[in-house]
Amino acid sequence: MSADFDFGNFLDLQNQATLKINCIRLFEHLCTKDGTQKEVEALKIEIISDPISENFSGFYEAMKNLKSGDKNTTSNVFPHLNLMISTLNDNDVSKAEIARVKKKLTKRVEHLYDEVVMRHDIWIIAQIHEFIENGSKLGINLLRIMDLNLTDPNIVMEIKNILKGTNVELNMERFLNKLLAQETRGFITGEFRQILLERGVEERLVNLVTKESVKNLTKESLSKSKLFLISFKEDMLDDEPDFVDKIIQNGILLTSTASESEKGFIFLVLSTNDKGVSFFKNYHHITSEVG
Amino acid sequence: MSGNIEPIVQGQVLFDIGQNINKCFILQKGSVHIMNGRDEKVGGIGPNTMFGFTELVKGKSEHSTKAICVSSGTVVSFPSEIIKNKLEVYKEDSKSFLETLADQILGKK
Repeated sequence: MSADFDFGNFLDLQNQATLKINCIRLFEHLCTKDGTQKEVEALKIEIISDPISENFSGFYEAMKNLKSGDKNTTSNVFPHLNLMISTLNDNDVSKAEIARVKKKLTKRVEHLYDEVVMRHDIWIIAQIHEFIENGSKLGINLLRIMDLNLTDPNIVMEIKNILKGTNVELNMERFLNKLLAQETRGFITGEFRQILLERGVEERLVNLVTKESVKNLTKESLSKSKLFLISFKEDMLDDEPDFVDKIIQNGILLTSTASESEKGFIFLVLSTNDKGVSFFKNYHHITSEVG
Repeated sequence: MSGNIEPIVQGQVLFDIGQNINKCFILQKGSVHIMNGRDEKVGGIGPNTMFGFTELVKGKSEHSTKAICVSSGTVVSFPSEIIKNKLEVYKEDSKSFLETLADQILGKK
């Protein structure tokens, strides 16, 4: 499919508001199941035949694949609808529709807590919270729990109990932190993260250090071993194609990413022995010691 | 079918001087300042405005200004190829007009 963008239709604010209204109404129908399949199908057709929709392939495909009553395609549509609703411009009608649906869903969401039986239900509740309050902490934490992809069915019930209890936001955050502490995949949290921050590693790099990369390290070795930041341009690999292999042989690679300047890399490496330290010090023109 | 919705945060540099023009933008929410090489503001972008493409009109492939987000919001980004393809259909006299306009926007005249 050739790349194109319909600027004429998109830059017309009225057109954006029309699509927004249809997205809000579809969101409402999918959450509340108040509408008939026919109504859902009619809104879907309105949305996919809107010329603005065609500018956004992810949104368009998700909408085209939506089958009313099908959990997978419905789940897939929600984040696209939320993103579109928060992005498109308003007119008076869309503002009124947003206010009406927010009010309705705010009243309805607690009843949905009672009906939670599977992950899909939690996903919808998270999307509703995101709709009611863009960037909702509860919504984000529910999505982060979903992202952990945990298969234990008790987790859904625990979430349900928290939602139905008091101090929902605080207790959900605690539950998420408990799950993260047990998790062996993903990025480091807690003390490991704090050690690197205290050693002066930039937060954007700390955020990329995986649990896998530190699985054989103790807190002491992470805080006391020499830590190096290696920054080099892509063309260095033309002269020394095995340089990355050498880095891995001489240290524990905590993370690597593209450098802010173009066509370069940054590696954060921990060196636990003298041989490694001397290797990295030999590359002093591209290496700096951290902490 | 090529637009992407991207959140932007205060302080984020959307493009910098000398960078290849890979994508152009429509600001949906928030505000963006366009700065020259002396870090002086040469333009302000408000919602529902396209930006990041002016140099393409001049036939250049690198940004000569820097765009910095001054209040968080959202942009729709799209590949610069789309603008290039659309510019190809302009005849020489229209191109000259667009180039003059581009010069003015870039603060060169």
